Amino acid sequence: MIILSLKNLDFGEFIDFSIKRRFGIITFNRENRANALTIDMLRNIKKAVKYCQTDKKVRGLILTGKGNSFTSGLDLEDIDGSDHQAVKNVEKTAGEITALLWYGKPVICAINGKAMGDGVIYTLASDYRIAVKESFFQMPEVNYGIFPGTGCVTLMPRIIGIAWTRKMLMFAEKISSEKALEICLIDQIVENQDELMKNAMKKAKFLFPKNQTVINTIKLCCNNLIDKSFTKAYELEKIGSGWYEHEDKEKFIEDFTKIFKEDRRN
Amino acid sequence: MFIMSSDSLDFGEFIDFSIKRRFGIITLNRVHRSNAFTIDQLRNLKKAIEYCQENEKIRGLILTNKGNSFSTGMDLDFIDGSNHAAVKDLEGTAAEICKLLYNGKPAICAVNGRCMGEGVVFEICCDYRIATKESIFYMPEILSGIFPGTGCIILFSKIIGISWTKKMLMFAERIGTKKALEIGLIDEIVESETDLMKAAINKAKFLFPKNQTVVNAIKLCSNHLLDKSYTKAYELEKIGSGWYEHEDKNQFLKDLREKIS
Repeated sequence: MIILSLKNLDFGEFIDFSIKRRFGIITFNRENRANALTIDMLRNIKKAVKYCQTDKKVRGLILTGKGNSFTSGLDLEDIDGSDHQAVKNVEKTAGEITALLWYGKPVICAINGKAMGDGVIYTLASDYRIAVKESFFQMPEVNYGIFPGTGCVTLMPRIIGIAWTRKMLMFAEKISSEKALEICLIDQIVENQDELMKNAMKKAKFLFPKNQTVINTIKLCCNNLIDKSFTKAYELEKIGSGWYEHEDKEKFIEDFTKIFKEDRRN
Repeated sequence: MFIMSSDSLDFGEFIDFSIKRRFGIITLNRVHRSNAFTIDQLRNLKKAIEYCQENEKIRGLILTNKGNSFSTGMDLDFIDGSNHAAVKDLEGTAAEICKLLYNGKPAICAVNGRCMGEGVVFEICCDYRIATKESIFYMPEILSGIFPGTGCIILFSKIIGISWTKKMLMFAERIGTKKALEIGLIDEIVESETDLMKAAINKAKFLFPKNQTVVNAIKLCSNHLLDKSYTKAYELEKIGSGWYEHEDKNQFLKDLREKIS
């Protein structure tokens, strides 16, 4: 069976990958550096996420980390924050990952500890976010004079509102898991690492037997209608609710996604 | 008096209608089926709401229910969820109801009990939402592979935010009243059915002596400016604040409604 043979797919250094319940599980594994992201690691994450989006057998993905950190964000020993060109390169890859998560198949985020920088951004882009109770969330970019430009300022006000976005991005406030739950940065708190994967799998189990076209269409509408006028939004929703009229469901999702991605409205 | 005579207006099966404090009170009454919607009932509901919008004597409406369910959504004994054409027809009517509630005169929703599917959708459109404490809110559509396409996703994401929208629509989470209050799905919890109508009439009482042009213009701006750029939103707000310059207030609101949505 193809799924079994894919279980040990290798996406390169610092990324573990497996498949369970038709969900691709991507685990950040660079424990000695609190799962800080190098440029190579980011590229590998992108490859793994892309693989999940393209492979028809995979119905969604789970993001998690090894050890006590989800990820501490960009590794500033690997990338010099004052080297604008280098930062720009990293941002491009990170931005692509954010977009793949936001527009793609359902994503469950299992936050196993510290989430900083891009870790917070993955949390924002995911559909269901579970965190162990010791987790905290922080955007330290402003301390280094870095603009967090990977789609983060676009997503954050939509998910946690403008007031909390300002506190996180302008004032680098550290957010506990309890506060994160309150402000909708996460959806659930669990006691420990065992509970974390158990609950993530529960959500995967809920999603994988459902009508996948409907699930993906709902996700696209949930994420992308908020900036549209009522009239425009309803037009788009009608396209979504007419999913069954399309012979080729994958093509339908692809086209529907494109409508949102290519919206250049001011 | 005209209002008195319209007290006994009949909009057809499963819809009770009365007028109090210049507010039309629409009661969903199909108790033996937990107020599940048939297509006829939806059409009747639409007629009643339309009547409230058009009648100049009426200043708003209260939407409530008989029995222990506000509504359990579409009656799947009446409409086969896998019959796409039937679902589409029903969705069209439901969407028109949403639009009337969201863009029209002030609407107060008094939920007593279970609120599912279209029930939640209509509730979320309303301007002030009160629920008895045992009420629950739940969107089960995904379990039957139905896309909740009545113009509701835009409303969910704007009113309760993207995260809760996903929990309700993708994961079919059941929401109790305490949580519903916390996330902005309702505005007030009451102890009993008697308190429910008391609280709803209270809000109607607050609204009906106010300047109706201003109330309606505020409602339109509150509901529709979030998705506009600052510059564009402020332009529209200025139109709203210039309400007194217009001779015909009804025409003014109609134009604003057109422009803003």
